[in-house]
Amino acid sequence: MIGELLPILLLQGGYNTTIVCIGAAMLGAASGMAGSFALLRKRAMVSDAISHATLPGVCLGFIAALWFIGAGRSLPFILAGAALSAMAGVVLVDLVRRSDRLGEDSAIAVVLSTFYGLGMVLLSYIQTLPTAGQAGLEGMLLGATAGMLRFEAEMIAIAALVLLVVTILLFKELGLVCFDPEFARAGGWPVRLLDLLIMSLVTGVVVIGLKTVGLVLIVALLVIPPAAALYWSRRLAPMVFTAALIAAAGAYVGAAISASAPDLPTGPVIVLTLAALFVFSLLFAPKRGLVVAMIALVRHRMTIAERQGLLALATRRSVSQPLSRVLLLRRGWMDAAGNATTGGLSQARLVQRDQALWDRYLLDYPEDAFACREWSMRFIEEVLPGDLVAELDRRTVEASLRTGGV
Amino acid sequence: MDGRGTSGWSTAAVHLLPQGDTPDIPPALEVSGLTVVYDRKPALWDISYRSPTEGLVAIVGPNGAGKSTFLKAVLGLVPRVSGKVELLGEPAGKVRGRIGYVPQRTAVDWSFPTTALDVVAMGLYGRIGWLRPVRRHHLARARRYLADVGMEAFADRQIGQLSGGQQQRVFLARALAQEASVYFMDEPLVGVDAATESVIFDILRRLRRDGRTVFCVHHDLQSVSRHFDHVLILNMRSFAAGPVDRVFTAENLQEAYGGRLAPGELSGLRLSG
Amino acid sequence: MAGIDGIDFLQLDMPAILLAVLAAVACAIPGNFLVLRRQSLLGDAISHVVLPGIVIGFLLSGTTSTWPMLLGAGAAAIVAVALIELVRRLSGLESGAVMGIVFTSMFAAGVLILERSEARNVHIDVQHALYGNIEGTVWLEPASIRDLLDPAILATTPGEIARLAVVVLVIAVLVVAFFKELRITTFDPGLAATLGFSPGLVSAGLVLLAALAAVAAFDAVGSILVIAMFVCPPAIARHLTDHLAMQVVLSVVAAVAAALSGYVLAAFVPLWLGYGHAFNVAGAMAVTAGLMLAVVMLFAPRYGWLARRLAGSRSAGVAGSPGTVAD
Repeated sequence: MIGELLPILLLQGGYNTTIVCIGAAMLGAASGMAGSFALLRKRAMVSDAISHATLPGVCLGFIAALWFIGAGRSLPFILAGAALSAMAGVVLVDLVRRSDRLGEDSAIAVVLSTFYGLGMVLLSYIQTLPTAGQAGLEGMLLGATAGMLRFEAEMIAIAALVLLVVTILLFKELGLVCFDPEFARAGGWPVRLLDLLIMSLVTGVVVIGLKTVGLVLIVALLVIPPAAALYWSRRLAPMVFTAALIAAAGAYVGAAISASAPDLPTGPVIVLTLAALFVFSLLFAPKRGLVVAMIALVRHRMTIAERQGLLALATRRSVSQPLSRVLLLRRGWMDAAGNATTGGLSQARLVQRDQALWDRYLLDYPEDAFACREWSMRFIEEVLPGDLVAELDRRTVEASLRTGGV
Repeated sequence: MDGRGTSGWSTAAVHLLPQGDTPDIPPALEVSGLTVVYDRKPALWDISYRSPTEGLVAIVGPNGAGKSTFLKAVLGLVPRVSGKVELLGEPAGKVRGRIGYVPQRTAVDWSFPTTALDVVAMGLYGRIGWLRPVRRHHLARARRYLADVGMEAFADRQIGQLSGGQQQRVFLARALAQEASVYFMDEPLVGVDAATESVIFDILRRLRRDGRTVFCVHHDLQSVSRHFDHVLILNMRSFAAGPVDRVFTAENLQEAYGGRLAPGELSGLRLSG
Repeated sequence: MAGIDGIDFLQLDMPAILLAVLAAVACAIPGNFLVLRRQSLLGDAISHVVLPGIVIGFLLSGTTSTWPMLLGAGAAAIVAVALIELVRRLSGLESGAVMGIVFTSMFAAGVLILERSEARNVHIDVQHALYGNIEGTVWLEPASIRDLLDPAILATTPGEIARLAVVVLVIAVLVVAFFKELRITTFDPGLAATLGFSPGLVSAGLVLLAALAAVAAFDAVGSILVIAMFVCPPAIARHLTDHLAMQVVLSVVAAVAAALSGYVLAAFVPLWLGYGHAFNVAGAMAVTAGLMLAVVMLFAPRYGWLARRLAGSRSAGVAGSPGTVAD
């Protein structure tokens, strides 16, 4: 399998396979971007309703093609039908969501099941038609690139490219709606229209992805890469492009693996590749990955415990927190009987003075202090500018003189 | 320096012992070394506090000072990094049935299919216990509590169709139904009209008369000295605590709020000291 | 009722209708609480992961008999719910997105294993899991209505019907028994916790109940109808009442009505219209449920669009939004 995979990855697996892989990568890039905007707008799962809502359109497209050109299996007809019924689904989700009786989750589930149910009814009708060539419709469920016509592969690749370009051109506007819709509305931006545009891009991705990934799994292409990208950056542009990159890589590799052997359906392989990338990001991304976050959390707890322990030593109270005791003992700042050592006492004084400064900061600048992540977590000189610390120092001394001091 | 932990905050606990406290009755709430962290940022730092055994306690402090967090940490609704909390002299888990909580109004789904009476009856659930159904006599009792807050006429109204003040009264009636010894109320007076405000203060006075303790996160400094016996000024740390007439001073407030209170605001207050 | 004779109805239509009604009711009851908790998509997630469950169940047991598959599906549902909760806590992502990640990944794994294993040669296919097979249920023993009272014939009730009936009973009993706990943990988890009703425990129980309903029902009616019945009947009832108990009762009524009218629409209407084939029954039921919701959303007496428009033109205060009704 590996021997067959390499040439495909290097785009030497024949014209059709090459176009499919490139098309999948472009589809991935477009879905990563559109999905990012949907996720940031907290509407990621609307894509689930959209994808299921394509089914009746697929069937109606098939029936229409049969009517007009005599053969049902016509990709342009089917995709046009899919796009129309998906957009109807988007509008309905929005309408249901607006009534205060139901949440967006219910709106999604209702539209999803009703449209898909309608699709099933239509499918059962199509299956009774005497015409051959219904097999193409089954492929829409799970995606099948094997046996794709050259013209179809090209069409998908071009449509994906168009979506990608549109998204990049409208980047600023879409970002604005996601970041602060109220501000955008006040600034005269057509927020509802831009929201609709995000959902249209998602619909575009879903419709193009039907043939490659299938309608059940296209949701993964829209949700997983943006979710993974959030671990690499929380700034808009880098996050969106990371999502595009992850999705493109996953789709490209997935399509290539799928082409390398029989019995490897494209959709599932792509989704599992993406899932692996997500798990990797969740665990190992620098700064936000779980491993780094866990280490930071433990360090944070230890910093608090150590400081509170030292403060207790400084005021000759007993150190009550078990973690504090362990840390102070290990540092040699406290003996087994719970008394401060000489080194411990001088360290305790240092921290006590620092805490007094932090407390003064809290009193004089409460809102800044509430917002300061480093409050009491590090020495104040390392966080605040020198002149401010000097001023706080002066005031602390003044206050302690006034009240008789410690 | 009554009730004030000054530059040496850590000694605060010693000063916080209310006067005239009899040692054999445990305080309603005793907290030592309470530290709470939200998203790796300190929200409450090393708070030690000992409350009186009964009466009305106002919890005040600037926005973001951790007042709601304090209530939730005490009730075990948010995890604490360190510290010990005792309610009525026992660990919080042991006295659950004797504690009542009135959350902020915004935390509720107002379109939920439930009537005012249903909500009040929920206050009785703790007493009814697992698996036993709500019976007619429970509902009758709930109705009486609803009457106490002047809301019996609205018993069958869906809660979303009540005004803000009426909703607050319903939640107060639910708290009364809990028949608790100690109450924690998170800003019960926010966004209510004058009529509701006077109903709420009546209820608070009744609870005091019955020997209960009520902790009330409170934003309106004007009414503290008129209605409350004790005050806890929070500022990420326990800034000051004690009887209103000694702790609720211009100097304390000025400092706790970082000099952010205008002189006009202060002069309107009935302050002590 | 041209074209439908009594025996056919008794042996073919009645078991199918019974199955659909039971499945609809089993899903609708826990669905009420999922809808109120903003967790409707959990039904969607559970019904998608049923596929990997049955595939694994088949591979481990080597048979396509019912119980290994049901156990596999149940295990997969529990794994999915646990994974969703785990990833949600670890990642801090919104729960909808987490469900999307988990169920698509598990579904993909299921399809891949299916395609790569010998299971594909046996009768398991993806479409069966999605569409179900209500039409395939037959009960040939009863020859007349009177036979339905005969214990000997009742003993031959098809397995899936009996199973679903038991599940409906279990769900109904548990929801009634824990009604108070479900109500308070759904409405105000904070208060529930301070009163000693662990919201985490009750939610876990509710999710297990939903999984039980989904697993028992998918085999007969397919994933899509399961999703529809978790959401549509409670959503319909939510527009008709302000009492939780009444909402649950009305959702059951709506579920039964959607199942019955869906069956009529798919199985009888085409015949009456002279079309020789019936349509997909599960799909038609989902459609009727959705249409019923649409009607209720438009014309419900108090919360419908029309009623609100009328009320809105009479006074500025709109019922249903807090703080607008004066003392």
